[in-house]
Amino acid sequence: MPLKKTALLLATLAAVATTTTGCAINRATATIDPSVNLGSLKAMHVAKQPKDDNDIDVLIAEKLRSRGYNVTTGGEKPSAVDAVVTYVDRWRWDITMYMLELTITIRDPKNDYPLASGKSYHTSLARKSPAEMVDEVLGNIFKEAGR
Amino acid sequence: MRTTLYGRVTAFLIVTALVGLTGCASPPTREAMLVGAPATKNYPYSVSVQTRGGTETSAMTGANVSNEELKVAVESSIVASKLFKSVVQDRNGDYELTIIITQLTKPVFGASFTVEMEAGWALTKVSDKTVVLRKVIKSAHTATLDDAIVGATRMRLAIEGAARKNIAQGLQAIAELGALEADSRAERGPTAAAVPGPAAVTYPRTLSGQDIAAHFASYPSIEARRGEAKPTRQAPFTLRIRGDGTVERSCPRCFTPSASGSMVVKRDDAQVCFDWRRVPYPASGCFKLVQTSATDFEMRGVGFETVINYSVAP
Repeated sequence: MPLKKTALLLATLAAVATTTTGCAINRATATIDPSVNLGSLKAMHVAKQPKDDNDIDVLIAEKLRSRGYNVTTGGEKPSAVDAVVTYVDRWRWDITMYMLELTITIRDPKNDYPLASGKSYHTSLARKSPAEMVDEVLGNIFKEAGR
Repeated sequence: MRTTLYGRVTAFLIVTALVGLTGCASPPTREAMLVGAPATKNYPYSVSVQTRGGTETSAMTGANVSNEELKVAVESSIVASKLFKSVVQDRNGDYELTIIITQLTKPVFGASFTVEMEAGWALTKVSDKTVVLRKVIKSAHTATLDDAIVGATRMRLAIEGAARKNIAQGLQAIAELGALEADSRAERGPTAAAVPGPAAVTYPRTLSGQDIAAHFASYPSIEARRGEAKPTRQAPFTLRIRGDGTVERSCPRCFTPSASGSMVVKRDDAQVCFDWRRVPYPASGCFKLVQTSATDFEMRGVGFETVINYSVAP
Protein backbone atom coordinates (compact mmCIF):
# COMPACT_ATOMS: atom_id res chain seq x y z
CA MET A 1 0.00 0.00 0.00
CA PRO A 2 2.74 2.56 0.89
CA LEU A 3 4.49 1.65 -2.34
CA LYS A 4 1.26 2.45 -4.15
CA LYS A 5 1.19 5.83 -2.41
CA THR A 6 4.76 6.51 -3.52
CA ALA A 7 3.88 5.51 -7.04
CA LEU A 8 0.83 7.78 -6.90
CA LEU A 9 2.96 10.66 -5.68
CA LEU A 10 5.50 10.10 -8.45
CA ALA A 11 2.73 9.94 -11.03
CA THR A 12 1.28 13.19 -9.71
CA LEU A 13 4.64 14.93 -9.83
CA ALA A 14 5.27 13.63 -13.33
CA ALA A 15 1.84 14.83 -14.40
CA VAL A 16 2.50 18.28 -12.95
CA ALA A 17 5.92 18.47 -14.60
CA THR A 18 4.52 17.32 -17.92
CA THR A 19 1.56 19.63 -17.92
CA THR A 20 3.48 22.67 -16.76
CA THR A 21 6.40 22.33 -19.15
CA GLY A 22 4.51 21.32 -22.25
CA CYS A 23 2.34 24.40 -22.64
CA ALA A 24 2.78 26.53 -25.68
CA ILE A 25 4.52 29.77 -24.78
CA ASN A 26 5.42 32.27 -27.45
CA ARG A 27 7.36 35.36 -26.56
CA ALA A 28 9.19 37.63 -28.96
CA THR A 29 10.67 40.97 -28.00
CA ALA A 30 13.13 43.48 -29.43
CA THR A 31 14.90 46.49 -27.96
CA ILE A 32 16.73 49.28 -29.75
CA ASP A 33 18.96 51.97 -28.30
CA PRO A 34 16.99 55.11 -29.16
CA SER A 35 20.13 56.92 -30.33
CA VAL A 36 20.99 54.24 -32.90
CA ASN A 37 20.10 54.23 -36.59
CA LEU A 38 20.44 50.68 -37.89
CA GLY A 39 20.05 52.00 -41.43
CA SER A 40 23.43 53.72 -41.18
CA LEU A 41 25.21 50.39 -40.70
CA LYS A 42 26.70 48.85 -43.85
CA ALA A 43 29.04 46.02 -42.85
CA MET A 44 28.36 43.50 -40.09
CA HIS A 45 30.19 40.48 -38.75
CA VAL A 46 28.32 37.56 -37.18
CA ALA A 47 30.55 36.11 -34.44
CA LYS A 48 30.14 32.34 -34.45
CA GLN A 49 29.48 30.78 -31.06
CA PRO A 50 32.20 28.20 -30.37
CA LYS A 51 29.61 25.62 -29.23
CA ASP A 52 27.22 26.19 -32.15
CA ASP A 53 26.93 22.97 -34.17
CA ASN A 54 23.84 24.14 -36.02
CA ASP A 55 25.37 26.96 -38.08
CA ILE A 56 23.05 29.56 -36.62
CA ASP A 57 25.64 32.17 -37.60
CA VAL A 58 25.16 31.24 -41.25
CA LEU A 59 21.38 31.60 -40.96
CA ILE A 60 21.76 35.02 -39.36
CA ALA A 61 24.29 36.13 -41.98
CA GLU A 62 22.00 35.04 -44.84
CA LYS A 63 19.06 36.88 -43.37
CA LEU A 64 21.09 40.06 -42.91
CA ARG A 65 22.44 39.83 -46.47
CA SER A 66 18.87 39.63 -47.72
CA ARG A 67 18.31 42.98 -46.01
CA GLY A 68 21.20 44.53 -47.93
CA TYR A 69 24.07 44.36 -45.45
CA ASN A 70 27.61 43.22 -46.23
CA VAL A 71 28.03 40.34 -43.80
CA THR A 72 30.93 38.12 -42.81
CA THR A 73 30.84 35.30 -40.31
CA GLY A 74 33.27 33.17 -38.34
CA GLY A 75 35.40 33.33 -35.23
CA GLU A 76 37.77 36.10 -36.35
CA LYS A 77 36.32 39.61 -36.40
CA PRO A 78 37.37 41.73 -39.42
CA SER A 79 38.91 45.09 -38.56
CA ALA A 80 36.49 47.31 -40.47
CA VAL A 81 32.88 46.51 -39.61
CA ASP A 82 30.09 48.77 -38.41
CA ALA A 83 28.59 46.20 -36.07
CA VAL A 84 29.21 42.77 -34.59
CA VAL A 85 26.29 40.40 -34.24
CA THR A 86 26.30 37.90 -31.36
CA TYR A 87 23.71 35.30 -30.48
CA VAL A 88 22.78 32.85 -27.73
CA ASP A 89 20.74 29.79 -28.64
CA ARG A 90 19.13 27.53 -26.02
CA TRP A 91 17.90 24.10 -26.97
CA ARG A 92 15.64 21.55 -25.28
CA TRP A 93 14.67 17.98 -25.97
CA ASP A 94 11.07 16.86 -26.40
CA ILE A 95 10.95 13.81 -28.66
CA THR A 96 13.46 15.70 -30.80
CA MET A 97 15.78 18.63 -30.08
CA TYR A 98 14.27 22.05 -30.70
CA MET A 99 15.39 25.63 -30.22
CA LEU A 100 13.72 26.99 -27.09
CA GLU A 101 15.15 30.50 -27.18
CA LEU A 102 17.27 32.63 -29.49
CA THR A 103 18.75 35.98 -28.53
CA ILE A 104 20.47 38.09 -31.19
CA THR A 105 22.38 41.24 -30.25
CA ILE A 106 23.83 43.81 -32.66
CA ARG A 107 26.83 45.42 -30.95
CA ASP A 108 29.17 48.35 -31.37
CA PRO A 109 32.47 46.74 -32.48
CA LYS A 110 34.50 49.20 -30.39
CA ASN A 111 33.08 48.36 -26.97
CA ASP A 112 30.47 45.58 -27.46
CA TYR A 113 27.69 47.98 -26.44
CA PRO A 114 24.30 46.49 -27.46
CA LEU A 115 22.85 48.74 -30.18
CA ALA A 116 19.87 46.44 -30.64
CA SER A 117 18.74 43.14 -29.21
CA GLY A 118 15.92 40.71 -29.90
CA LYS A 119 14.73 37.51 -28.34
CA SER A 120 12.26 34.77 -29.27
CA TYR A 121 11.09 32.03 -26.95
CA HIS A 122 8.91 29.14 -28.09
CA THR A 123 8.24 26.03 -26.06
CA SER A 124 7.84 22.59 -27.56
CA LEU A 125 4.24 22.76 -28.74
CA ALA A 126 4.91 26.07 -30.48
CA ARG A 127 8.38 25.22 -31.69
CA LYS A 128 9.86 26.88 -34.76
CA SER A 129 12.77 25.86 -36.96
CA PRO A 130 16.10 27.68 -36.43
CA ALA A 131 15.59 29.58 -39.70
CA GLU A 132 12.13 30.71 -38.56
CA MET A 133 13.51 31.76 -35.18
CA VAL A 134 16.27 33.82 -36.84
CA ASP A 135 13.72 35.38 -39.18
CA GLU A 136 11.41 36.26 -36.29
CA VAL A 137 14.12 37.78 -34.08
CA LEU A 138 15.69 39.89 -36.84
CA GLY A 139 12.26 40.85 -38.14
CA ASN A 140 11.29 42.16 -34.69
CA ILE A 141 14.56 44.07 -34.32
CA PHE A 142 14.15 45.88 -37.65
CA LYS A 143 10.45 46.40 -37.04
CA GLU A 144 11.28 48.06 -33.72
CA ALA A 145 14.02 50.12 -35.38
CA GLY A 146 11.59 51.32 -38.04
CA ARG A 147 9.18 52.78 -35.54
CA MET B 1 6.09 -1.09 8.89
CA ARG B 2 9.46 -0.87 7.18
CA THR B 3 7.72 -0.48 3.82
CA THR B 4 5.60 2.38 5.19
CA LEU B 5 8.72 4.16 6.45
CA TYR B 6 10.46 3.59 3.13
CA GLY B 7 7.54 5.11 1.25
CA ARG B 8 7.37 8.18 3.47
CA VAL B 9 11.13 8.78 3.34
CA THR B 10 11.07 8.43 -0.46
CA ALA B 11 8.20 10.88 -0.78
CA PHE B 12 9.92 13.34 1.57
CA LEU B 13 13.20 13.13 -0.37
CA ILE B 14 11.46 13.67 -3.71
CA VAL B 15 9.56 16.71 -2.49
CA THR B 16 12.67 18.10 -0.74
CA ALA B 17 14.75 17.67 -3.90
CA LEU B 18 12.12 19.35 -6.05
CA VAL B 19 11.66 22.27 -3.68
CA GLY B 20 15.30 22.67 -2.75
CA LEU B 21 17.09 22.16 -6.03
CA THR B 22 14.84 23.79 -8.59
CA GLY B 23 14.34 27.49 -9.10
CA CYS B 24 10.76 28.43 -9.84
CA ALA B 25 9.09 31.80 -9.94
CA SER B 26 9.71 34.25 -7.15
CA PRO B 27 10.01 37.83 -8.45
CA PRO B 28 13.06 39.90 -7.48
CA THR B 29 12.20 43.00 -5.49
CA ARG B 30 13.32 46.57 -6.08
CA GLU B 31 14.42 46.94 -2.45
CA ALA B 32 16.86 44.04 -2.76
CA MET B 33 18.35 45.47 -5.97
CA LEU B 34 18.93 48.89 -4.42
CA VAL B 35 22.50 50.18 -4.09
CA GLY B 36 22.88 52.45 -1.10
CA ALA B 37 26.61 53.19 -0.98
CA PRO B 38 27.28 56.92 -1.42
CA ALA B 39 28.65 57.83 -4.83
CA THR B 40 32.14 59.24 -5.19
CA LYS B 41 30.68 62.13 -7.23
CA ASN B 42 27.54 64.23 -6.84
CA TYR B 43 26.56 65.76 -10.17
CA PRO B 44 24.40 68.90 -10.03
CA TYR B 45 22.05 67.59 -12.72
CA SER B 46 18.70 65.88 -12.96
CA VAL B 47 18.36 62.54 -14.71
CA SER B 48 15.57 60.37 -16.05
CA VAL B 49 15.80 56.58 -16.24
CA GLN B 50 14.50 54.27 -18.99
CA THR B 51 14.82 50.48 -18.79
CA ARG B 52 14.30 47.96 -21.59
CA GLY B 53 14.78 44.30 -22.31
CA GLY B 54 13.42 43.11 -18.98
CA THR B 55 10.92 40.27 -18.59
CA GLU B 56 8.13 39.79 -16.09
CA THR B 57 8.36 36.88 -13.68
CA SER B 58 5.91 34.08 -14.42
CA ALA B 59 5.33 30.52 -13.32
CA MET B 60 6.34 29.22 -16.74
CA THR B 61 9.46 31.25 -17.48
CA GLY B 62 10.69 31.63 -13.91
CA ALA B 63 12.08 34.60 -12.03
CA ASN B 64 13.19 37.55 -14.14
CA VAL B 65 14.10 41.21 -13.82
CA SER B 66 11.21 43.34 -15.02
CA ASN B 67 11.68 46.78 -16.57
CA GLU B 68 9.56 48.40 -13.87
CA GLU B 69 11.41 46.86 -10.91
CA LEU B 70 14.81 47.66 -12.43
CA LYS B 71 13.77 51.25 -13.19
CA VAL B 72 12.64 51.89 -9.63
CA ALA B 73 15.73 50.17 -8.21
CA VAL B 74 18.04 52.33 -10.34
CA GLU B 75 16.13 55.50 -9.50
CA SER B 76 16.19 54.69 -5.77
CA SER B 77 19.90 53.88 -5.99
CA ILE B 78 20.64 57.23 -7.64
CA VAL B 79 18.68 59.03 -4.93
CA ALA B 80 20.34 57.03 -2.12
CA SER B 81 23.84 57.47 -3.55
CA LYS B 82 23.25 61.14 -4.42
CA LEU B 83 25.01 60.62 -7.75
CA PHE B 84 22.63 63.11 -9.42
CA LYS B 85 20.84 66.07 -7.90
CA SER B 86 17.42 64.61 -8.65
CA VAL B 87 15.57 61.92 -10.58
CA VAL B 88 12.75 63.05 -12.85
CA GLN B 89 10.20 61.24 -15.00
CA ASP B 90 9.32 61.43 -18.70
CA ARG B 91 12.75 62.42 -20.04
CA ASN B 92 12.51 65.91 -18.58
CA GLY B 93 15.94 65.83 -16.96
CA ASP B 94 19.34 67.19 -17.94
CA TYR B 95 20.45 63.65 -18.73
CA GLU B 96 18.71 60.47 -19.80
CA LEU B 97 19.96 57.10 -18.58
CA THR B 98 18.92 54.09 -20.68
CA ILE B 99 19.57 50.56 -19.45
CA ILE B 100 18.97 47.63 -21.80
CA ILE B 101 19.08 44.12 -20.37
CA THR B 102 20.52 41.85 -23.07
CA GLN B 103 21.15 38.66 -21.12
CA LEU B 104 20.02 37.11 -17.86
CA THR B 105 21.50 33.63 -17.68
CA LYS B 106 19.99 31.40 -15.00
CA PRO B 107 20.56 27.79 -14.02
CA VAL B 108 17.51 25.55 -13.56
CA PHE B 109 18.88 23.04 -11.09
CA GLY B 110 21.61 22.83 -8.47
CA ALA B 111 22.75 23.56 -4.95
CA SER B 112 24.38 26.86 -5.89
CA PHE B 113 22.68 29.18 -8.36
CA THR B 114 24.93 31.56 -10.30
CA VAL B 115 23.05 34.17 -12.32
CA GLU B 116 24.86 36.26 -14.92
CA MET B 117 23.45 39.54 -16.14
CA GLU B 118 24.54 41.72 -19.05
CA ALA B 119 23.13 45.18 -19.65
CA GLY B 120 24.00 48.12 -21.85
CA TRP B 121 24.19 51.44 -20.00
CA ALA B 122 23.87 54.63 -22.03
CA LEU B 123 23.81 58.18 -20.68
CA THR B 124 22.71 60.95 -23.03
CA LYS B 125 22.76 64.72 -22.51
CA VAL B 126 19.20 65.74 -23.36
CA SER B 127 19.95 69.29 -24.57
CA ASP B 128 22.19 68.29 -27.49
CA LYS B 129 21.70 64.47 -27.60
CA THR B 130 25.39 63.92 -26.84
CA VAL B 131 26.04 60.33 -25.75
CA VAL B 132 28.45 60.62 -22.82
CA LEU B 133 28.47 56.95 -21.82
CA ARG B 134 27.94 53.70 -23.67
CA LYS B 135 29.10 50.70 -21.75
CA VAL B 136 28.36 47.01 -21.36
CA ILE B 137 28.08 46.03 -17.72
CA LYS B 138 28.40 42.34 -16.87
CA SER B 139 27.72 41.04 -13.39
CA ALA B 140 27.21 37.70 -11.68
CA HIS B 141 26.03 36.56 -8.29
CA THR B 142 25.94 33.16 -6.63
CA ALA B 143 23.39 32.17 -4.01
CA THR B 144 24.16 29.01 -2.06
CA LEU B 145 22.27 26.72 0.27
CA ASP B 146 23.62 28.91 3.10
CA ASP B 147 21.56 31.78 1.70
CA ALA B 148 18.30 29.85 1.24
CA ILE B 149 17.20 26.23 1.32
CA VAL B 150 14.24 26.72 -1.00
CA GLY B 151 15.29 26.82 -4.65
CA ALA B 152 12.88 29.59 -5.67
CA THR B 153 14.20 31.87 -2.93
CA ARG B 154 17.80 31.02 -3.82
CA MET B 155 17.12 31.90 -7.46
CA ARG B 156 15.54 35.21 -6.45
CA LEU B 157 18.54 36.06 -4.27
CA ALA B 158 20.95 35.23 -7.11
CA ILE B 159 19.03 37.42 -9.58
CA GLU B 160 18.75 40.27 -7.08
CA GLY B 161 22.47 40.04 -6.37
CA ALA B 162 23.39 40.09 -10.06
CA ALA B 163 21.09 43.07 -10.67
CA ARG B 164 22.40 44.91 -7.60
CA LYS B 165 26.00 44.45 -8.72
CA ASN B 166 25.08 45.57 -12.23
CA ILE B 167 23.52 48.74 -10.86
CA ALA B 168 26.52 49.37 -8.60
CA GLN B 169 28.97 48.97 -11.50
CA GLY B 170 26.84 51.13 -13.79
CA LEU B 171 26.59 53.97 -11.28
CA GLN B 172 30.32 53.69 -10.61
CA ALA B 173 31.00 53.99 -14.36
CA ILE B 174 28.92 57.18 -14.43
CA ALA B 175 30.74 58.52 -11.36
CA GLU B 176 34.03 58.03 -13.18
CA LEU B 177 32.94 60.01 -16.25
CA GLY B 178 35.32 62.86 -16.93
CA ALA B 179 32.86 64.52 -19.32
CA LEU B 180 30.20 65.10 -16.65
CA GLU B 181 32.77 66.33 -14.13
CA ALA B 182 34.16 68.83 -16.65
CA ASP B 183 30.63 69.96 -17.52
CA SER B 184 29.66 70.55 -13.91
CA ARG B 185 32.84 72.52 -13.22
CA ALA B 186 32.38 74.61 -16.33
CA GLU B 187 28.82 75.44 -15.27
CA ARG B 188 30.05 76.55 -11.86
CA GLY B 189 32.36 79.06 -13.58
CA PRO B 190 36.11 79.50 -14.14
CA THR B 191 36.91 79.86 -10.43
CA ALA B 192 35.14 76.68 -9.59
CA ALA B 193 36.77 74.93 -12.51
CA ALA B 194 40.19 75.55 -10.98
CA VAL B 195 39.45 73.89 -7.66
CA PRO B 196 38.03 70.53 -6.75
CA GLY B 197 34.23 70.49 -6.80
CA PRO B 198 32.60 71.01 -3.41
CA ALA B 199 30.25 68.13 -4.15
CA ALA B 200 33.10 65.59 -4.21
CA VAL B 201 32.89 63.09 -1.36
CA THR B 202 35.68 63.30 1.20
CA TYR B 203 36.69 60.47 3.51
CA PRO B 204 36.22 59.53 6.24
CA ARG B 205 32.52 60.35 6.25
CA THR B 206 29.96 59.28 8.84
CA LEU B 207 26.77 57.89 7.34
CA SER B 208 23.38 59.25 8.33
CA GLY B 209 20.65 56.96 9.65
CA GLN B 210 18.98 56.88 6.24
CA ASP B 211 22.29 56.11 4.55
CA ILE B 212 22.94 53.28 7.01
CA ALA B 213 19.56 51.69 6.27
CA ALA B 214 20.11 51.97 2.51
CA HIS B 215 23.68 50.67 2.85
CA PHE B 216 22.68 47.46 4.64
CA ALA B 217 19.76 46.97 2.24
CA SER B 218 22.33 47.00 -0.57
CA TYR B 219 24.83 44.73 1.15
CA PRO B 220 22.91 42.01 3.02
CA SER B 221 26.01 39.80 3.22
CA ILE B 222 29.26 41.30 4.50
CA GLU B 223 32.69 39.75 5.06
CA ALA B 224 34.08 41.55 8.12
CA ARG B 225 36.55 41.30 11.01
CA ARG B 226 37.29 43.12 14.24
CA GLY B 227 39.86 45.77 13.49
CA GLU B 228 41.10 46.94 16.88
CA ALA B 229 41.66 43.53 18.50
CA LYS B 230 44.93 41.61 18.67
CA PRO B 231 45.66 39.80 15.38
CA THR B 232 44.89 36.45 17.01
CA ARG B 233 41.41 37.72 17.86
CA GLN B 234 40.59 39.12 14.46
CA ALA B 235 38.68 36.09 13.23
CA PRO B 236 36.92 36.94 9.95
CA PHE B 237 33.17 36.47 9.94
CA THR B 238 30.26 36.74 7.55
CA LEU B 239 27.41 38.99 8.63
CA ARG B 240 24.09 38.19 6.98
CA ILE B 241 21.29 40.69 7.38
CA ARG B 242 17.77 39.36 6.97
CA GLY B 243 14.86 41.53 5.97
CA ASP B 244 12.97 40.81 9.20
CA GLY B 245 15.48 42.54 11.50
CA THR B 246 17.40 39.40 12.37
CA VAL B 247 21.09 38.85 11.66
CA GLU B 248 23.30 35.80 11.43
CA ARG B 249 27.00 35.57 12.01
CA SER B 250 29.13 32.80 10.52
CA CYS B 251 32.64 32.61 11.96
CA PRO B 252 34.41 29.31 11.17
CA ARG B 253 37.39 30.11 13.43
CA CYS B 254 35.27 31.14 16.43
CA PHE B 255 34.46 28.90 19.41
CA THR B 256 30.80 29.18 18.40
CA PRO B 257 30.88 29.25 14.59
CA SER B 258 27.21 30.14 14.05
CA ALA B 259 25.24 32.74 15.92
CA SER B 260 22.15 34.85 15.45
CA GLY B 261 20.76 38.05 16.84
CA SER B 262 18.84 41.18 15.97
CA MET B 263 19.76 44.44 14.25
CA VAL B 264 18.10 47.84 14.50
CA VAL B 265 18.99 51.01 12.59
CA LYS B 266 18.39 54.05 14.80
CA ARG B 267 17.85 56.62 12.08
CA ASP B 268 17.67 59.66 14.37
CA ASP B 269 20.92 58.73 16.13
CA ALA B 270 22.64 57.56 12.91
CA GLN B 271 23.56 54.28 14.57
CA VAL B 272 23.15 50.59 13.89
CA CYS B 273 22.70 48.37 16.94
CA PHE B 274 23.32 44.61 17.23
CA ASP B 275 22.19 42.24 19.94
CA TRP B 276 23.90 38.85 19.61
CA ARG B 277 22.49 35.86 21.45
CA ARG B 278 24.99 33.76 23.43
CA VAL B 279 28.18 35.04 21.77
CA PRO B 280 30.48 37.98 22.62
CA TYR B 281 32.03 38.25 19.14
CA PRO B 282 32.01 40.58 17.26
CA ALA B 283 30.16 42.62 19.97
CA SER B 284 26.67 43.61 20.98
CA GLY B 285 25.92 47.32 21.12
CA CYS B 286 25.47 50.35 18.88
CA PHE B 287 27.87 51.50 16.17
CA LYS B 288 28.46 54.54 14.01
CA LEU B 289 29.11 53.63 10.38
CA VAL B 290 32.07 55.44 8.84
CA GLN B 291 33.08 55.17 5.19
CA THR B 292 36.86 55.44 4.89
CA SER B 293 37.18 55.04 1.10
CA ALA B 294 34.95 54.32 -1.88
CA THR B 295 34.75 50.67 -0.85
CA ASP B 296 35.91 50.49 2.81
CA PHE B 297 33.75 50.89 5.90
CA GLU B 298 34.21 50.85 9.67
CA MET B 299 31.60 50.23 12.32
CA ARG B 300 32.80 52.14 15.37
CA GLY B 301 31.36 51.19 18.76
CA VAL B 302 29.48 53.94 20.59
CA GLY B 303 30.75 53.97 24.17
CA PHE B 304 33.10 51.04 23.63
CA GLU B 305 36.23 50.60 21.55
CA THR B 306 35.21 47.87 19.16
CA VAL B 307 35.84 48.59 15.47
CA ILE B 308 34.56 46.28 12.73
CA ASN B 309 36.17 46.63 9.30
CA TYR B 310 34.81 45.48 5.98
CA SER B 311 34.91 46.26 2.28
CA VAL B 312 32.19 46.16 -0.35
CA ALA B 313 32.32 45.63 -4.07
CA PRO B 314 32.51 48.93 -5.98
